[in-house]
Amino acid sequence: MTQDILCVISGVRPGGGPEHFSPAGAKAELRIELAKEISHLSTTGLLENEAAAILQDVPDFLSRSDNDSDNDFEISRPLGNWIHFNTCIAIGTFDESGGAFVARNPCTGCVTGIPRGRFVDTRAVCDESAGRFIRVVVGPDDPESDLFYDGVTHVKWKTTDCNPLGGNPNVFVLEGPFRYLEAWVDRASLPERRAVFPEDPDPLSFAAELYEIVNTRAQPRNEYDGSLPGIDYGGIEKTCEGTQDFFQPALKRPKHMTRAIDNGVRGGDLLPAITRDFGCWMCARPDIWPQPPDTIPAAVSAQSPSFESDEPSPTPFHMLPTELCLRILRTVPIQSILALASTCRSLRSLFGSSEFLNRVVREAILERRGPLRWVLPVATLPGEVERANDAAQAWLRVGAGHPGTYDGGSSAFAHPSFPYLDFLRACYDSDSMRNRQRFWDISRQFEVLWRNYRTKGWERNIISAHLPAA
Amino acid sequence: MVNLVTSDNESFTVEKAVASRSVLIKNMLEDVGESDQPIPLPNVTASVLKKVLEYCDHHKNEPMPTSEDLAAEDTRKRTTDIGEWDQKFIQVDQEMLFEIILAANYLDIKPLLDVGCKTVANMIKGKTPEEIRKLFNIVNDFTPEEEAQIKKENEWAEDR
Repeated sequence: MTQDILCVISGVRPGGGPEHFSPAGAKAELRIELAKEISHLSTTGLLENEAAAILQDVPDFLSRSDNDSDNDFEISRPLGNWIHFNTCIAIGTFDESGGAFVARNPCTGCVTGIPRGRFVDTRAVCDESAGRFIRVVVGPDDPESDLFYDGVTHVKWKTTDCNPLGGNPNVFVLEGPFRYLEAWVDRASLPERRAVFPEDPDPLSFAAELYEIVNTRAQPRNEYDGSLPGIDYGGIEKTCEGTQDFFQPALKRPKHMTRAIDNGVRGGDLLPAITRDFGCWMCARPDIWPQPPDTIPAAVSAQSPSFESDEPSPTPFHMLPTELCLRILRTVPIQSILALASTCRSLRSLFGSSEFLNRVVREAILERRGPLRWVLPVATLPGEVERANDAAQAWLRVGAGHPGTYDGGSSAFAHPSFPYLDFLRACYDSDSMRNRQRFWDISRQFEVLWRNYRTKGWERNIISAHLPAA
Repeated sequence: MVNLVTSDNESFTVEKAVASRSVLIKNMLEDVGESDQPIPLPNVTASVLKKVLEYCDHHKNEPMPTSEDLAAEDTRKRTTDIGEWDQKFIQVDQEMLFEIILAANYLDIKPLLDVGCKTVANMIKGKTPEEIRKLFNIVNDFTPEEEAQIKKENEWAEDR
């Protein structure tokens, strides 16, 4: 069995991660465990045996026998395959056999020096096995490319070794997550590198800095799966147990299953809740923007009545003008704003209105460093801008309450009538956008690493001043 | 030196470099030129001004933020990081914290306003309604039915 190596940014193996909930032989035990937890979490007094029977009735989930492994249910890749999970970007130095130039201790064989970022190259690669790629993506004019043209991408045979075992510093990342990281880490706002790297002060490419950051952390990359300690991948990295085949290790609490069962959902209709609890969304392609309903009902577009009170209780927030409240809350996640607005009637009047929440969400999406900027498209991924704008225009037509009145001019996301809150709710309900937000959260973590790198330098000095011999 | 008079009629004589951290005062000084006339600050009490001046004194030797700096700061204010000294400085009771925010806004001291706003934002982040009530001494005046309705409404944004 081949070892899977994960993308250091997304925690997903090339191709897009697991395709099964659990090993066939573990189903009976899993059903018992899940039933126990669901019964515990249920608010309707559901018994364990009742929960187990409900799970048994979900087609293609835990209903097949342990002996049926050959026909084990394969989860359809959420929202289809994404080409940018297949193509990878390899960053490193590549000798004739695709391996890195490194210095080794002649006695122990341990790596003692790796090339600095200035010497690294990047390659678009595919056809991976255990971090080793056998093809390089080339332009259509490459003389060797036609021989291996697969109808979509022009490629040629060339080995690229990014397996981290043995201290190999070459890194690979899935192309899509790489483009997001490149777009979302705001390197221009960070201190210049010259202060901490006076011997190598000139700017480095994004890929070269990423390579140095990944390879000089105090805690090196995990050699057995390629993940970077300290990065919260959302739990998907736990699914790599030698190979990344099953979602089961990403399962936390079955809260969506429990809620759905409590609400009377049964059979195949439970699958969306199941896939959510198993974290399958972490492998969903992250570029499918939600479409609006035909009309946005009032119950969705507005919060319920503000429960006005004759004697509103004063809170410290009542001391502040609206603009200052907005200034405070635009750095606060929407769930915390809703929590604040749920504390008493007067704060619900202040912060719970659709108008106020729309203003907060609008700023959080549109400002340069807004915390909801991830819902906007990234121009370096082909087709994203068009797809996002199509969705945004559809939302605007419905949200403005006058279908057809939007003329398509300027960015629909910035239009004053854009239904920001309703759009955000739809994004939160979308597996694709959830994964997109996960990539955003990871980019925030990498930005912290980037700032530390630019202000404190390498945490571990393993970089050679010169390119080591092959 | 500059003489500042608070709403409760207390006078503070401070260095011009300290007072000028406030864009409001800096502009007033530029408008009136050299003068011994006290500058009235009708929206700030003595206890709050004392605290604000402590902040201004600590930061008096730092370059005044330019419009470019403020734009850059605007890009950074999404983060919740607050400098070590500023964190200790802003460890005050809640009433004072909100008074400092108001004063920083009135006096136009953007860096102090940011410190205050970030501090309040950090207090709210990740908390449940009940935890926020405890933190800000807010009385829950919803009926249990209303509370249940609101909880259901907000389910979409829960930790997913």
